[in-house]
Amino acid sequence: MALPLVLPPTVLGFYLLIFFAPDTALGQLWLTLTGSPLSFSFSALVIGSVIYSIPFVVQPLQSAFQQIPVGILESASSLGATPLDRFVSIVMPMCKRSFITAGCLGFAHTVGEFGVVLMIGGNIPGETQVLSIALFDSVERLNFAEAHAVAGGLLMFSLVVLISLYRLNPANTNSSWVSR
Amino acid sequence: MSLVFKASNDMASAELELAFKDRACTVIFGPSGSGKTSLLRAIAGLPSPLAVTELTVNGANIRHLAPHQRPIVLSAQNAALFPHLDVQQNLVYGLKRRYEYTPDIQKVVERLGLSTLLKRKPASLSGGEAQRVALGRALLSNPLWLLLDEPLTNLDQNARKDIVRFLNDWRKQRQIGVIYVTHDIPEALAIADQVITLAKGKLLKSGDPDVLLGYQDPQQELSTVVSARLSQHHKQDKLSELLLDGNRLLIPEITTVDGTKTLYLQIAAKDVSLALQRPQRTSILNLLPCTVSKIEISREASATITLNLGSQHLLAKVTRRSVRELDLQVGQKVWAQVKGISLQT
Repeated sequence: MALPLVLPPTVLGFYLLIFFAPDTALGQLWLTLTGSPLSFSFSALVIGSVIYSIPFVVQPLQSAFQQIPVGILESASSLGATPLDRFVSIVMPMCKRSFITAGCLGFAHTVGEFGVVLMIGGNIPGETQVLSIALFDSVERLNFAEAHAVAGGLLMFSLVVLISLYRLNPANTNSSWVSR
Repeated sequence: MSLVFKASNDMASAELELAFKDRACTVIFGPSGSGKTSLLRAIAGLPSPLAVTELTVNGANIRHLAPHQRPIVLSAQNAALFPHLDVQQNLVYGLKRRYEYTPDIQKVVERLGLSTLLKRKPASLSGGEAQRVALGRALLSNPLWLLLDEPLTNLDQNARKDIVRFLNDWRKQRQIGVIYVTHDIPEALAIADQVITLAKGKLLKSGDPDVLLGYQDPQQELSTVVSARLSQHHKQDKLSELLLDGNRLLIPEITTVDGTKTLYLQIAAKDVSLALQRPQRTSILNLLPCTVSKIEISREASATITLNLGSQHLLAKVTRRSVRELDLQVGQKVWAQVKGISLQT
């Protein structure tokens, strides 16, 4: 699960590209089910990005779950709460901030992704071209006006994400109910 | 009709076998580390060092049920309130998930003194307040069996008495069984129908509250518990007269007790002093003729004297010097002067 943290994104993208090719079992299955190949499609981008960003979502959630005292979950179960009920009525509200943090981190990380997306998406405009690759393209074409617009937009977006994260977590902890 | 529990215990390498009477309050008594909490956790279905081999409620096997499926609610010692819910939401958490019945939330809130706390979050409650909320939450979930692990440790003596009285009313009205863990002899005597004493994971004694007579908790101040019966009231002096194996005892007037009930009295060893002759012209009302049965000299200045009083025992804490000067011997007749008695109803 932590492998995408250290693996170069292009390596992950390369293996996913191989794995998604129409001559593999997954590629075949996808082709039969949807009628179009999986490689160089938007769906492939989504799957690749999910795999790549999972650790950035799972780790904050996991550390938040671990901070819930066992006694609280035990008393909930003794009071009649089923495992699913305990997750919904105790774990989720107690880790609300961590869910939001994880969502923001995961989303921001995915938006900025370059290597994986370029490998498995192929930079097809209108289909698999994402903002970070579009920025690279503009610079290559020396179209700096367009590059400024895209880069400025991404900068604003990142600032907004950061500010809202700090607003939610004033102490910048994953689960501030513990430190309160 | 009862709860039967059997478990093997690696620690004690012995089978622990207990039966709890239906609709009764059983007090589990014993020093720290004797396995009281482990026992409650095993009954509730939570992880515990005890390996349960049999657990039945009214004959039905519930050993394989998950905690939320058992007709049992455990209220842990540390309250374990839900931090994201306010007091009111904590109180009704179990209520919404357990059995169909019309709860008297108002009564629980009033008797436990929670009415001003309802909108507060657990983080802002004191230890005693949190314990009262946890108790209310457990009561309102209305199980067949209620397991309470030292539920009143953070409360003062008066609040404890009130809550114990309420708990007694509640359990009798609801006809639920209670298994109650405590260190405190007065609290135990106030609520127990049945007493089980444990030591190092083993059953020591099980039976009527009489089991506690002469019980000595090594971690508490030295005291003994004796049983007595009400004989008459002295209205003018606001005193009640009790008979303890034929000996007269006077205590501050009690009104709530009927004459046939056995009363339990706790007498601290430090409140008992000894005299060789019957003291004359003393302000101490309670003088009991006893026989010395054991003399234990401690490493410090004190000595603990065990006294026989009919079939019961008293402990007296005196100085070594007094033992020497009075020349106390086993078998000797002495008079015990009792300064303080606490009565448990």
